[in-house]
Amino acid sequence: MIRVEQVRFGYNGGADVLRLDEFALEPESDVLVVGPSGCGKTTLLHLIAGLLLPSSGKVVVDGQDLSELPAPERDRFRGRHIGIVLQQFHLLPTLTALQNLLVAQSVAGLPVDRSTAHTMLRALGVEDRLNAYPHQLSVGQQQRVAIARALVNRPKLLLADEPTSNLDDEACEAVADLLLSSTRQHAVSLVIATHDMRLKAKIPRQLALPRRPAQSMR
Amino acid sequence: MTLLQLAWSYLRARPLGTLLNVVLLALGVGTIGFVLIVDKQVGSSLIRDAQGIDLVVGAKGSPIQLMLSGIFHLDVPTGNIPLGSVQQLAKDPLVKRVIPLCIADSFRGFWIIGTSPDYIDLYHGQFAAGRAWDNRMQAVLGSTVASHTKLGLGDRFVGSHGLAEGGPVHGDSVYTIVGVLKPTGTVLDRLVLVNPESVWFVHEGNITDPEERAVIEAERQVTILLVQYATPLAAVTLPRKINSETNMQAASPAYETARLFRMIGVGADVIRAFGGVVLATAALSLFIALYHALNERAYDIAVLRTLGARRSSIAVMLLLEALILAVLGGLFGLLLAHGLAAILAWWMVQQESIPINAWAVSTKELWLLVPSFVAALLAALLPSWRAAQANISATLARRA
Repeated sequence: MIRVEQVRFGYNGGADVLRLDEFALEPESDVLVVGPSGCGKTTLLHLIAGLLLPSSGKVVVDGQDLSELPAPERDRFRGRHIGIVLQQFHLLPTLTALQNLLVAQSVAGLPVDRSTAHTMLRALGVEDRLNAYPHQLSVGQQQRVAIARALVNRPKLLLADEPTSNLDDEACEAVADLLLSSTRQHAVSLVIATHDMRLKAKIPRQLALPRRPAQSMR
Repeated sequence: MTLLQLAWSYLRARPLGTLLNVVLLALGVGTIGFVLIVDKQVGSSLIRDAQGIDLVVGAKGSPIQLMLSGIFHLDVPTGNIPLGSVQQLAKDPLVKRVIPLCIADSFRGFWIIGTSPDYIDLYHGQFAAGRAWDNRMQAVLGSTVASHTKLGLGDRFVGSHGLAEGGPVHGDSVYTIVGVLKPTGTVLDRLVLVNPESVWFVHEGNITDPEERAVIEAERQVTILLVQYATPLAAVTLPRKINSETNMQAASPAYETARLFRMIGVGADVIRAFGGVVLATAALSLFIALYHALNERAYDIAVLRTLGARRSSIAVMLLLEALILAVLGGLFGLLLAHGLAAILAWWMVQQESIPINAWAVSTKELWLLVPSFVAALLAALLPSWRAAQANISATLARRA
């Protein structure tokens, strides 16, 4: 599902903030990207999502080398094959829960399909809040809608950046279970970047990134 | 959920800001549109009234006043000229036709014009009812006069001296209405037409003594002569001949109308420029709104990109927001322009002035949407470009 080879990344030709010689993730499997703050967890996630391109090396997702795609194609590839959940579970505030899913279909260049969106919201248990705006939803409901949005285009890979960092133990457990159960249900691989030790109990496989190379040289 | 719907959702989410921008755009377009509509309506109205008249001849005075009173009946005449001058001018080989106008009285604010039936033909007037006069004290009403006074065939009325309502009334000289004209869209609609004999009769009274009668008839006057040339050459010599060899004055409607328009035109230009300034303000306001949106929505834009939106889609989204405002502002502006024109038209009707058709909509008015679009596009250009160039990874990382 993911293959990372000899990847180096640095901003504007500066020192590398990430070095990763080899990493691979099989379909329908999970991995936790861990490491100290500033080690490049988010950077790795953005490289896998095609939001950043490596200075050198290769990132291959679902058989596609992301560096080989022109920018518009890469955006489309991300929209169709990769679901992303952000720390704040950010929903577009001017759109309803349902519209947040429909816009995900639309900007990925896929036909707008209300029934798929309904199904996904039902699977996450928020089908009764279809027409609610984000500010009318509880935090838990917002998280569920955000996960439904990440999955609505049937991606094969779900990336989550610090999904539990601001949550208490109970909520952390709920979000982790939700992510795991919905990725299992839809046969999706899951990559979580986190420094949240509580998740280690849930996902045994871990990719530990070393302290940033520039920092270790100091 | 198209980009258009997405753009609309953001406009709906900040109704006051949206309202401000629509109002500013509408004011700009409305002001410019108002000037265009009035300019066109007044212009075409004046051109219709002046068609077929090559020269206006009357007593010495201001040529513009002569034209305003003789053709448009918007001003009092400069004075009277001897009746004999009509025959004299009519004999001139350069002249094809002379239409005399005797202007002295009015009826409820509408001029009573003593003239020949040629005057009705000049404006292609047709009778809605009745016929032309064949004797004195018979009157034909223009369509506006008929509808305003609610008088018809067989009704009787008296004129009052001068134009002001409530002036001295010629109570013993009663006109009978023998004809009503169909609307022509010209000055004819606002006139009461009678035989010149009638006007003289009203002022002379019924004189029985033949000697006195002969004296008075020799002193008869007319007010205005409308002249049609027999040949274009007349334009070169006839006005000069009249102005220098007689104590009359000749004014060319084409020249004087153009002169009048140049004077009014300055006012129109000022209003137009004001509209331009308002539009520029609208563009600035829109620019500020969109630029703010960039910062407020940086994270939203980043999320859209993670969902697969291309850079170009983000730019298009912001451009669409501006264009929705441009369309709304433009349409409300057109409505405003016509509304203002309608108010002016209503006021001008009260003043018995030139009629304006405020709701005559032409497809050319859609061109008025262009300045609105240009303002919106200029305002959206930089924000759209910036939004498209935004570093998504950095935006996401900053929040996380």
